[in-house]
Amino acid sequence: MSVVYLLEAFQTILSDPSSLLFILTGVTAGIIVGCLPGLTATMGCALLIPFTFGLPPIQGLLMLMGIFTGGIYGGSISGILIRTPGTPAAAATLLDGYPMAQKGEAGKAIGIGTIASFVGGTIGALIMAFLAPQIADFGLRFGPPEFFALAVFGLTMIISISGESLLKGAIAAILGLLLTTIGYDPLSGVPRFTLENDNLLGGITFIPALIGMFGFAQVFRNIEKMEVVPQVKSKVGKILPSFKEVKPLLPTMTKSGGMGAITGSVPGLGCDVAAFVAYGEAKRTSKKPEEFGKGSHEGIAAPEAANNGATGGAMIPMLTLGVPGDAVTAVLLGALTIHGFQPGPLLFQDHPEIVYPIFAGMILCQVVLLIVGLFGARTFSRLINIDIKVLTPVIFLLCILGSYSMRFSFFDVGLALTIGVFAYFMGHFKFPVSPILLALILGPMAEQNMRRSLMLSQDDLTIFISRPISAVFLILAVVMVITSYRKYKKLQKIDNDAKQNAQKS
Amino acid sequence: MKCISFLCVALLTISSSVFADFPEKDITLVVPWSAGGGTDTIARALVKNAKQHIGVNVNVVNKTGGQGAIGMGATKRARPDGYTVGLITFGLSTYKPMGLSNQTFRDYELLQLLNQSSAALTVGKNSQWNSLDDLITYAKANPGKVTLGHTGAGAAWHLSAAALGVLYDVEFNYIPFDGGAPTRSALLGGHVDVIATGIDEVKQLHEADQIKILAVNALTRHPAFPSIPTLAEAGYKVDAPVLDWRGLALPKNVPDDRVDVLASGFKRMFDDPSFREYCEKVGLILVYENSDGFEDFLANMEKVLEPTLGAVGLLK
Amino acid sequence: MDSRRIDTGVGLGLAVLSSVIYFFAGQYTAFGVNTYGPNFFPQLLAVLLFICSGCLVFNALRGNSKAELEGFHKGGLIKVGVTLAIAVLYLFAMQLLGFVISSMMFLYLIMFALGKKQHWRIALISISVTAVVWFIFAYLLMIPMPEGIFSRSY
Repeated sequence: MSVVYLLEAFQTILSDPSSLLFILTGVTAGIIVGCLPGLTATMGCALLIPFTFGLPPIQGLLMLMGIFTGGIYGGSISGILIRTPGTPAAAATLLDGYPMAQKGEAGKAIGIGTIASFVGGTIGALIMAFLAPQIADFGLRFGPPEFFALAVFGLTMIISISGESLLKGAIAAILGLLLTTIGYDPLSGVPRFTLENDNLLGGITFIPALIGMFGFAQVFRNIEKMEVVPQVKSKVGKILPSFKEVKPLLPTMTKSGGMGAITGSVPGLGCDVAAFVAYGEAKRTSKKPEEFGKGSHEGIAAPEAANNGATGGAMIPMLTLGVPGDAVTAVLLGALTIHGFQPGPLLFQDHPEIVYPIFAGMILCQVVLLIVGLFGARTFSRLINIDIKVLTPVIFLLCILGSYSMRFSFFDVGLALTIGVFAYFMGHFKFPVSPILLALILGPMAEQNMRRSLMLSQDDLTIFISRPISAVFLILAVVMVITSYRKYKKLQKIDNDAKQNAQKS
Repeated sequence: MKCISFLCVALLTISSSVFADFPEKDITLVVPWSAGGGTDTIARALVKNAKQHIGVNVNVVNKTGGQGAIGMGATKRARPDGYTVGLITFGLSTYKPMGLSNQTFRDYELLQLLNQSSAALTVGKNSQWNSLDDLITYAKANPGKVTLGHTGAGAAWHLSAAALGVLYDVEFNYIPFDGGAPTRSALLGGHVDVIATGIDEVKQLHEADQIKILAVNALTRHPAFPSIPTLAEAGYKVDAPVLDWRGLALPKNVPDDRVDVLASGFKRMFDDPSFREYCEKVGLILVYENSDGFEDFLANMEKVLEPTLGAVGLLK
Repeated sequence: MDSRRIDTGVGLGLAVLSSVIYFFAGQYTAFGVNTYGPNFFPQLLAVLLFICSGCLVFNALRGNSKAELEGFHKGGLIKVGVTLAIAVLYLFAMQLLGFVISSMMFLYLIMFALGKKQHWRIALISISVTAVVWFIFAYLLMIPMPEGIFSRSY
């Protein structure tokens, strides 16, 4: 049944060239907004909603979905090129994307990212089209204990992103978790660590922290090293990855795309969590884990496939339950409502004429993304050939504006700069910053759901293991810790041997 | 030299604006909640046809954070030239008593009230309770056993449910969630027994027959939910229900003539048929009060809230 | 750079920080909440942080922290300080002079501080970059940029 509807929807969209134009505009605008630090897919959609008032609903939605897809993808371009993720979802991509760009292979890194985004996004869209109701029911079974277990599972990815010292990674993660306790506590109504400052009542805002940790810290590093380290030039000639290089990545992409779609479909988790989970999983199961963090192709493919897969996943609870999966879908929900469609259980019955074009449009967005992305990769990869003494000030300016535009606040810029200085010194002292980021994403989820669960169970700790889904995730977390730790020890040994050999010769 | 020319330019622009018509450029509407959310969509729907009604566009700017305190604080500190209008919401009634921020409605030049929402007590489709009486009887017999999910400590819906609990001596196990959407999904997933949310937030689920709304905490029935009884009709009368509200305000000291222009301009946007139609669709009750009526309403709300906040231990 | 000294210093600093956090978090109590109140999570984290920083110091003293730390490049560090100062000035300038003028000055000064000495070229770059950025942010995305004293309402 649904296949027929879907094909019909394709026909409707494809028969009207203006629809394709809206997708193209949306995806391109999304990529631009996404790759500017601080301007996220959420913001892009929110800003464009007024424009879609005047359009027919389907066209308007196609454009918004284009921005969503393009925005999540665009974030990784700046992550790869300048180690400043444009959106939080791209923070895992830069772990391998930036080292690869530093080898002069920026074009190839973007190419792999594009193909992975396409594969992951298409899988996400297909899962959305065919399994939406079933997955939505599964998502509902997540109550507070399950969310807590999931957050703990997510936090075990710290091992995979800690770099050289696990202890320093753990310290960074704890500091990140502590940062999330700043501000108003929605469970008790008590303001914590706010120093009586209204600006801190809402806690450390995520975007300024992201820009500080990656953007500003990288700007400072560039400035310090400018005289001693020569600038990397992107290789000319063959820019895109060959089929031979892509083929071994396909299983990773497929798996990560599926994982992304499932992760994204749980309300409250988003593209960013999906990317980190996929990265950790890819590293854990990889045949060449020693390459991770140094420019591994898999390390780019996995998070990129996952975060674009999650875009499809996040649409599922929004459409079927009226519960947004993340911030962007919350905006899309608003857009649907404005156009007179109430997302929820009735939408599928009452308005198939809007549901199926959404599915078809999501798939078409991925195709357009692939085309625009591969054409753009060439141009984008040349950006790092700009004189670093010109490029760095421009990035500096963009980071300042990015942290300002989140909520038009100079306090946020100051906060981002302060975090940037800290992150810069952390880099020098070999403390990894990615665990802080992961902690910032998962911290509130872990704390609130732990306390919420214990309110439900009236202080009975067994609630976490007596419920099946929560127990499974906690067991998975333990397995993840053990296997990742073994792998980490093994890698360290390889590293040490290599160093000793180097010293001998 | 540069400084002097800067000053000249500044002086020129000041003097020209004194004689100019108001408004001569776009007005900013500060919304303290994020883009795409409930409050934001209302604000955007309100100002959609601003140009017809006030002659210039009104641009929505989202200044989020601090439970709304950031955006409202920005309105309070804005230049009192009438070009910055702020949306103010329920939080303003609780900041001071809860010790979150020092702002109260007295720091603003109030423009008008936009809407009032009332709380609904909702249970799942297959719940054993079919009326408010069933629920309260059960909860009284089993103190602390019934889990009641709400949208956050100190939010209107928490206080609304707590007021009922305090008045009739019922002990619920209150479970705070972070906003309306997670609260709804907790009910659908069966993780809590009852939820207290705004009645408009459960409209879609109600129409899809996924839930049962037991009662609405208001003095009269909601026009979009004619079959849902009020608390008094369900047998549990509450004299002054805690209502969520949204309104418009200006910083203090805006010149009177400009306040008048804005007040009548926003009233016309408020009466715009397309705005009314939108609100009806999403189940929002529009309530207009002019500046004086708004002030009375807020002063009264303070009196209602203090004992409730005290009873749930949130009063500082 | 000597990683032992750094690790010991950082570890001791973090230990002090965790104690302070533990003490402050103890004040956050709420009525009607169960045992795991608003103080629980920060205090738990403070304890974990204390343990981890202890390990860091212990490892460093035993000579186990073998990682080679990146040395600071002294001239570079000074440049970082200078550009940071320019950035802070820029934030104040933006509120006074508005976005356009202050951004042009910011770009010009940073490029100059980084060793670009062709005045005409960097002035041209500053102006064109500011124009493009202003077009995207203020015009296309309609983000209200600070206008400073040039705001039209005054």
